[in-house]
Amino acid sequence: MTTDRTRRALLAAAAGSTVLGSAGCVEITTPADLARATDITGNVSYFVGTEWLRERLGSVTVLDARQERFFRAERIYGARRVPLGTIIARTESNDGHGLVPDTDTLAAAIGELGVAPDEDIVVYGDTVGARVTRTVFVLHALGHRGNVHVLNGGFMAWNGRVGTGRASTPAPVTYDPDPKPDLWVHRAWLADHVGTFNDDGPGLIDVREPDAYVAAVGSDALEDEHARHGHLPGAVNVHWMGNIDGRSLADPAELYQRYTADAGLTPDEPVVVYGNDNVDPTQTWVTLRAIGFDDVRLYDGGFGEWANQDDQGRYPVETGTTAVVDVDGEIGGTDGGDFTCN
Amino acid sequence: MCCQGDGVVSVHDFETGNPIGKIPVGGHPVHAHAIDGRIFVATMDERTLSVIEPNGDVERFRVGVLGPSHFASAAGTLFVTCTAGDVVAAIDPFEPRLLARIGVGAEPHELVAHNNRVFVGSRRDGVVSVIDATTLERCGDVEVGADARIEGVGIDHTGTRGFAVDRRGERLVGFAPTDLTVTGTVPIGSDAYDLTVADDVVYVPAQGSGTVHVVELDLDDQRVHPGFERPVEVHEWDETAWVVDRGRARLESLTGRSVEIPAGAIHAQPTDHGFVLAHYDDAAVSFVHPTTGTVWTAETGAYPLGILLV
Repeated sequence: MTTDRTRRALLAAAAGSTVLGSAGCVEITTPADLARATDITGNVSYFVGTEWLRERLGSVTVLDARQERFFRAERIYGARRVPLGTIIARTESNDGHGLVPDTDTLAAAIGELGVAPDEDIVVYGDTVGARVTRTVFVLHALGHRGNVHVLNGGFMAWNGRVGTGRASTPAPVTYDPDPKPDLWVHRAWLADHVGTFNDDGPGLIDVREPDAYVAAVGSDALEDEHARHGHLPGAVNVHWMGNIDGRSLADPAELYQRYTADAGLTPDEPVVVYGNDNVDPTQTWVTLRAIGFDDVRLYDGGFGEWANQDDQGRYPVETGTTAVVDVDGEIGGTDGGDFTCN
Repeated sequence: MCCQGDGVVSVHDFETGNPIGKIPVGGHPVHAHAIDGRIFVATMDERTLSVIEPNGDVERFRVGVLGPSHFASAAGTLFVTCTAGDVVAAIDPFEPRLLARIGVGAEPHELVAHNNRVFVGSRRDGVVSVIDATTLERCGDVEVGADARIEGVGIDHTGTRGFAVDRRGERLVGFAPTDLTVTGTVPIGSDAYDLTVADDVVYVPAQGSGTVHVVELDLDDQRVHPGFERPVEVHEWDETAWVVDRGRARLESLTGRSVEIPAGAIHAQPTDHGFVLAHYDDAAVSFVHPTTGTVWTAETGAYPLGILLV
């Protein structure tokens, strides 16, 4: 059953957020305040505020990237849920160069949502985390022709019409993909560029926790299923969570400074991002594109593929470097990197 | 002299020590190796090697992985460890060009060649990896211990005994170079990172404990010489073992002889006429005769380390 109602839960939360000032003044945060805080100004693509969406609700397709229980509890009215497990499919490239997005499977998953290639899309989650951005990446990888946006601030900032309970199932469509392989790279491409990253070749960003990047002995950040630890030679570490402040995109000017001055990237040159898998790094993939990087590519195989290659000479890892850009980002809600495929 | 702090190779006249010039080679040059008139310089802060051609030109070529540090040569191929990674780069020294990267235990550092095989100590994975210098393939590992941090590696002149210094475990490990098994261990002092395999014994200076360990080749016995400040190397010269001490401006032998030197040294290169010494902490190089003392001293770039006589 679907119920139309106002954001009672949000109003209750807002009422509880009253803060007593030291001089006895009272500050009250209203749903409108939360919504306004999601507005994005300046030359930033993808991210839109709640007001922007409210004005267009009904004319754009809204995709909910959260876990099912949150979707059922409450969602933006008319939203369709994107199960994460359906949009991470990858396959060995035909020429044996490594794992790449399985565009046929991904297209089928998007088609199951009743999304056609020319629809304008808004994706939201609990935050602007990796579940959301993986959805955005997949749409681009499939050559989606409509505009794709991300709701800044996530669901908690939404103060418009909501739905709850089981959603009606959209009528599936045949999504005819037009894959864009220039948006990703494979293992062999990276191996051919070893030694050039962040030097005279492409930029390369490792989005994982710094402990994983430096292969800190005994750290929980080291994945047991990885035969080796460390990072791709030349990669600079910028943890993806630093792109997020609470539930919103971090300050774009600070992000630009971080990725250019601190990490040494050049916005008009190719940049590759990777993580352990193909979900978390899409947050940086979207963020970089949002702040003006022209050519951002995802290594869909991730460090998990690289580290388990037998040909260690062709796929080396480094441990003895500390090119870590410190970030102090935090992520609210339930969209953290510790996602589950449901 | 490879001057780690300045990114240059400092060139000196061997007879007088007079400076001839400085050659910029890239970040953190630590060791150099000469083949066929070319000088290969390991620049540890780069993913490239620098090559000083006979005419003085400097060429650089990519090895791809950070931290080139130590060289060894076997079967006409030059091998260099990439200490920040998990490979050894194999170089054709005559082109020069990268032939292959060979996977080894992570953070490989010192290496030694013997009978067309190269033995590479891993600072991280507790193994000595063995490379076939003719096929450029890893043919096995000596499992020294998961927690071992292997620094110095050596093979005796018969090729039947191998040795590795486990700095973290404070032990000298013996292994069989043919079947790659550990044959024994002996405790040593702290913070040891180098060894010298002589005809009858292995010398291991332990800079943390100020001791020099003289270990029988079969590891059955050892003599411990205490009283040093920061001993870092031992070299046999004129049938006497001389200790290079980073903390003391003196060259001392294990038989009680000593000679004043300009400053503490981190590395020595023996010659027929004495030692060239790298005074790492004092930006200087000197030539010292163990009996008559210092012949000359010269300033270098910052943090001189590797010495090459050509």
